[in-house]
Amino acid sequence: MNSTPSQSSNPLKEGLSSRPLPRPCNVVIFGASGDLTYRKLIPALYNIEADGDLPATTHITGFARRPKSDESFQHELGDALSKFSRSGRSEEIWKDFSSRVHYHASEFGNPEGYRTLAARLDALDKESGTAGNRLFYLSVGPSEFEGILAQLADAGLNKTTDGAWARVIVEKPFGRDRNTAHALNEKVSKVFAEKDTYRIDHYLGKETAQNIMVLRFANSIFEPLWNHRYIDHIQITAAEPMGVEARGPYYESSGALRDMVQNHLTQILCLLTMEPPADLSADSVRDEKLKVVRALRKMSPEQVARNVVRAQYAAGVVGGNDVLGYKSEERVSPQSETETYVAYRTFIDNWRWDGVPIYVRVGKRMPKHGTEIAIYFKETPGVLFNAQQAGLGPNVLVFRIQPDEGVSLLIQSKRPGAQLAIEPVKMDFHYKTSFGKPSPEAYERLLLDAMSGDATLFARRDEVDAAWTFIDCIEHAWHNHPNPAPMASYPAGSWGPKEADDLLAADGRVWRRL
Amino acid sequence: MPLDETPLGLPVAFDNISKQLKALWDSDTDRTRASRLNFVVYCQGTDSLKANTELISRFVRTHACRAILIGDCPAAQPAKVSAWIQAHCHLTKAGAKEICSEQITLLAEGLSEEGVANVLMSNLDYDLPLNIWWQAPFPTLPTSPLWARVDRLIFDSQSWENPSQEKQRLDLIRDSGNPRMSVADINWTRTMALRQAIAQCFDMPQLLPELPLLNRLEVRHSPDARLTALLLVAWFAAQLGWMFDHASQDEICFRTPKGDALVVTLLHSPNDSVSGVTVRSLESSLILERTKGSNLFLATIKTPAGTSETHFPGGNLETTALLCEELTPGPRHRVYQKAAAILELLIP
Repeated sequence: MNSTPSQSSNPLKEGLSSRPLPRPCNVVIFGASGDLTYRKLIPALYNIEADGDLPATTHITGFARRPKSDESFQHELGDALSKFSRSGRSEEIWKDFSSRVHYHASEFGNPEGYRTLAARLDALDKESGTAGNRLFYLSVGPSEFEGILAQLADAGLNKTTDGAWARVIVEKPFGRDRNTAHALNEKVSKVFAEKDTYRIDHYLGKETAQNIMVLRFANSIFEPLWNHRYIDHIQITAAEPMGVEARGPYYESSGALRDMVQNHLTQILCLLTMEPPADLSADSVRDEKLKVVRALRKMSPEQVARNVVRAQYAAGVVGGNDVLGYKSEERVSPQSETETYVAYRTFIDNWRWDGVPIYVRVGKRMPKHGTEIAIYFKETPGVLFNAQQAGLGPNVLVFRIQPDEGVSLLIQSKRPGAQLAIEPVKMDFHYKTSFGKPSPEAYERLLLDAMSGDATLFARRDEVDAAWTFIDCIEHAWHNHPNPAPMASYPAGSWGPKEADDLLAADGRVWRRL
Repeated sequence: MPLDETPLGLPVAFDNISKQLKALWDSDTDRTRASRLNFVVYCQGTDSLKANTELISRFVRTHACRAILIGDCPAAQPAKVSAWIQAHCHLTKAGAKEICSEQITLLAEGLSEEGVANVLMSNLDYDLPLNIWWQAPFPTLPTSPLWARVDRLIFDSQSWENPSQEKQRLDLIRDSGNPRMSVADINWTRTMALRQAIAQCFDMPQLLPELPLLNRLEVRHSPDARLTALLLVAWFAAQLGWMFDHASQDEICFRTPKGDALVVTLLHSPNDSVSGVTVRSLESSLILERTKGSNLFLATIKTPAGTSETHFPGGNLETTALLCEELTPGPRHRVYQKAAAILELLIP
């Protein structure tokens, strides 16, 4: 055949998609016998294939310790797919797809395993024309990162030739504080350039998260109001009825602050409050997000005590079932000082958001599942309709991130009748009903982006650093200060501790009821 | 044959449509009505009103809208407008919530173009974009005020009886001074899955270098899908820089950018629409065939290195599915325009 063509020389692809199309590649999943592979990654890749977006020669190799044949791995994945794929399972598509799924058994620290992996990928490149493009997905605990990265480098798997690429996707948690994140970043950067490092945050793959930017910057009615002159405060809530389930040991070393706030909620907050980027390139968007994280007000231990509430769930009732308290959960220390709930008040110290409090709460064993952002606008002047003693109440714009993704706006309206009675009414947009077709899973979007080289929805190193700087102030006040704020308690199935309600009550506000 | 009004819903007086729609929704205590666009289907005569109502019923499952179906009978006398209203409801995939869209059916008898436009425009949901599917020959001159209001003009070039004439009339409509209007050819969407599969095959490094070396293209199509096949050929030519040389009934000759001859053959097939494509160079070939009884294409790739087979999604050729795909925003307009320009050279 002829010489290797350049990567962008297929004119037949023009106009077939509104997004950059992925290149054929080898995807290698480290930790392939884990839950994430079965529940999310393989269903996501399969659905990309079913939608016709996965290049036909893309191969997927699972890398894990347990001995397993290609066939048994494929069989297990097929069973899981029937349960977890949003589009079900077509036998023809699965047959093609699974024929390109392989299993590579090796200890993560065994150099021979990587040498044989390299040989296998080289063979697949020759056989399928994947051109040396490789995407490594580290679906493993952070303690494994360093070893895997070092082995990848030793086997030359991070090296590319002739316009090919090698990228790595890293799952959270990315460090447990700024120092460990910095150390981890250093290790990653020795093996993969920053442009090839994709720190995944599945919240950013959700439609509503992406819609925050669209709503703000594709509509002219919101942006003029998007500042301290018109917005009274912001509430961000991430609630889930589940406890720690089987993740006790992980959760013990993490807690709600590290598990949810450092990554998911901070990323969402950035999209919500950043300045308009110069363009939609990955770095322009991430530059603006970074400015927000850097402007988050850092707290002294005393300020942490006043602005942050931490709590653990006690025994209670969720969904009609009695559930244990956190300290009685399996593989959780009875003396645990790990928070399962955190609520805090923060400020972004820049021109746009001067003095606007942002209240964030996240918790396990809450009454229901839901993540949402609520923007409370300032009330109208206290004359005319707002002259009544009770006041009319504010306009509230709500982004529902999950479940039932959508946007609603609470406005005041005259109630029909001869009397002048004003009531709030809700304008409600639901993705599922307005667009009729189900949204792709967040992992589908993010895997496609990584294969296409679009890092917009992935966190950059400096963003991660800055987010940890903010989180570290709180963790330090809790764990290293001589007089830390006490750990509050809330019954499972409630909306959190009284102290969290008091936090808002002190400002004359209340938490939203989801 | 008398018109069977049953599928069209509740008969209402034309000047009472708004009031009757309001009454319809007032009884909907759960507030299930949703709308994000005006979807107008324009057809001539009454024969397709029932089939179009069924199509709208399927369409609104994914596109909540105000649907207006117009049957235009300009030669009928006396001049009058009959109207019917109905709601199409379904449960969302989310589960519980029922969503409803409204359909207004209008039978315009003995009206001028302008009169039909006025009848239609007085029933639009004015804040929402206007998508109109024109299921009839285009007018000789775009004098109707309707064209200034259209956001998306949908048509199916596969149904054109006189393609050359329809293309000229379409160009007049597009040049009539509405810069907002985009055109959407369902026939183009019909080739979408095929184009995606072909493009993906040529993404394979062993096949990509063959693109400039192609010397034969065969397209297998059903008798009624000749224009679909030609559109696909035009797409190849536009994207690969082939220059039209000459054509006979079933063979078209191009010159590649290098000046080499390239022969395209159109072959009749008993299967639906365009069912297969073969592309050849001296050393390699790609055969893409819709597999029987499934919604997939089977690609057989032969190169000096060997033969391989793989499946690709075959797309859904059902009209509602094509319509829904066509209404998805995307950047295909420019590529279509390039292909349509070459199509003009290929159609009689």
